[in-house]
Amino acid sequence: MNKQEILEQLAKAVVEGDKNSARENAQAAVDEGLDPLEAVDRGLSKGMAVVGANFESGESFLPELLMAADSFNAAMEILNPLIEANKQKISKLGTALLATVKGDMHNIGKNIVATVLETNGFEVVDIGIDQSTLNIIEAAQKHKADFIGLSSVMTTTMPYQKEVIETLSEMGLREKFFVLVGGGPVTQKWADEIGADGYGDTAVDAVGVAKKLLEKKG
Amino acid sequence: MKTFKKDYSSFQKGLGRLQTAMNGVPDRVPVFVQMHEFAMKELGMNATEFFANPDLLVGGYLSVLERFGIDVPTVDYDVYNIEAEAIGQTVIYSEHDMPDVDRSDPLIKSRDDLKKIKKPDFASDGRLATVVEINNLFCELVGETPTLNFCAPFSLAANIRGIEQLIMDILIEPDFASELFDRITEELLAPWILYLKEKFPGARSICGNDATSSLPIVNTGILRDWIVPYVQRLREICGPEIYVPNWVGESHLKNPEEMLELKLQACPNFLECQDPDVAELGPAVYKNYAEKKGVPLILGVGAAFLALSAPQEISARVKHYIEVGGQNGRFSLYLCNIGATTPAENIKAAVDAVHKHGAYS
Repeated sequence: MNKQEILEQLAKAVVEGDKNSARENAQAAVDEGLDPLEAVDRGLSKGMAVVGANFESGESFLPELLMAADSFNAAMEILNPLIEANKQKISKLGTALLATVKGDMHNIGKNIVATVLETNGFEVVDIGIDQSTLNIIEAAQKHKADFIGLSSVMTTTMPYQKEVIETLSEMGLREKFFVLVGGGPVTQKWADEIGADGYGDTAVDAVGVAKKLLEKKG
Repeated sequence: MKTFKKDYSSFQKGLGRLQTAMNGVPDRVPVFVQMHEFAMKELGMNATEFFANPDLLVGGYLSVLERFGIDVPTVDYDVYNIEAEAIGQTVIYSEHDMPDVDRSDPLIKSRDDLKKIKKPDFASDGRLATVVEINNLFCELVGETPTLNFCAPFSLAANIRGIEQLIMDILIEPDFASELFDRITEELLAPWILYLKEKFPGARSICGNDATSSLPIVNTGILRDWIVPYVQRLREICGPEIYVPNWVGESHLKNPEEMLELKLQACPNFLECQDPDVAELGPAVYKNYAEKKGVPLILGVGAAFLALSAPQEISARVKHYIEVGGQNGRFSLYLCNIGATTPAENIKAAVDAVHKHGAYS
């Protein structure tokens, strides 16, 4: 296989959620001396972009996204040591700190957002479910996040999204982070009402919003 | 300690209205709700108190339904947790929110854990006995057997295994997933449902709650191959009164009827659909499909819409759903999972709109 074919096969393996093919083609990339970053950017990530777009358009669902991510990770197990050895780093667009707010135990939506963000070049720090406002802010500072993504799946926990934004302001930290909100009952109207910087109806929307905010920041 | 009325037989009129609506044209479109979190707030209770006390869950809940003019009395509690908790899944109780399984600590972590899925001791495991007490109290207060509830196989599997892990099991370890679903269906749910049937021989409907089996969490392949068959298996073992009505997500599909067909396989006697799908596709899609299949239709107004919209927007949506869905009868309206933060005037607006626009002349 030539370089172009390997890249196409890597993308295809991710789109089809074919872990074995992802591994085989990652190994082929290594054997043929391809730049591992190129294999990630022009192969695996291209596949994830297709899966993300299909998810957005309703052509694929969480199972396809999980299988794609699994295949992506299988290939990365082979490519990562080379990337590390070359002391190269994949250029990251920014760092997103994700959490489900206090009192909310749901993680599906947040995890989808994490996967889609990661595959679009963001560093993601996911601190999990049921996170207090102070935990979230502390983690965002620790990881030098550009974004704080707050998930809330119940109307009873939505006020904690507001609490995070208010607490950031009280602590004089509001300008340091973009705050994005999402979750089943969350709407653009709610995001505007609480002064969030962005809202995504879907995971792919959230990535678009995050990219636009970064562009604006310059 | 609050005390409530001892007689809610007045709800029999609403139950009669629902029964007529399922078969033909009633005097008015019936309205029913799920509102345990809202009721808890209305009663001034905390969650720890409310969800552990059958008097509050039944008497208190019925008092709130009656106050808001809801037609159909229901038993409402954290229906997704009961069977999982009975076999040892940790459930988190908090002061402000409904109990929920601890998703950071699933019960089934390996194949070896599958043996934990077994017939529970109905008298002593988890809150199974409390559920019986709740249903008994409902019978006493209303004079009718309520719809009995259980957590459907897929949602239960997700609660004890973790949803992402469960999906990966289905996709890459189908033998393991089969064993998980077989055990859940045959060793846990079927005995529990048969026990409930024995305790409540008057039960005409036994509802499996299954919100996790919705798009885009699953796809239609998983619905068809892994979700429908286990609901059908439960119907074979326990009887035709078993149904699972509450999957959502057909608006994600190019052909929504593909999912509506699957829905009727799990709930053959009526079609229940709700926002955001109904808002997205419009109620006519559902009315036409229900008429084509010869089944009654239930349309649900969404929880987020009810919580965050203005009363006049809510009235307009209820009117629209009734005007389209209510033609020729065989129609009921459902107000979905009303949360604690939903303004009372929004619920009033919805119910008033049903009363105003739902009357058949």
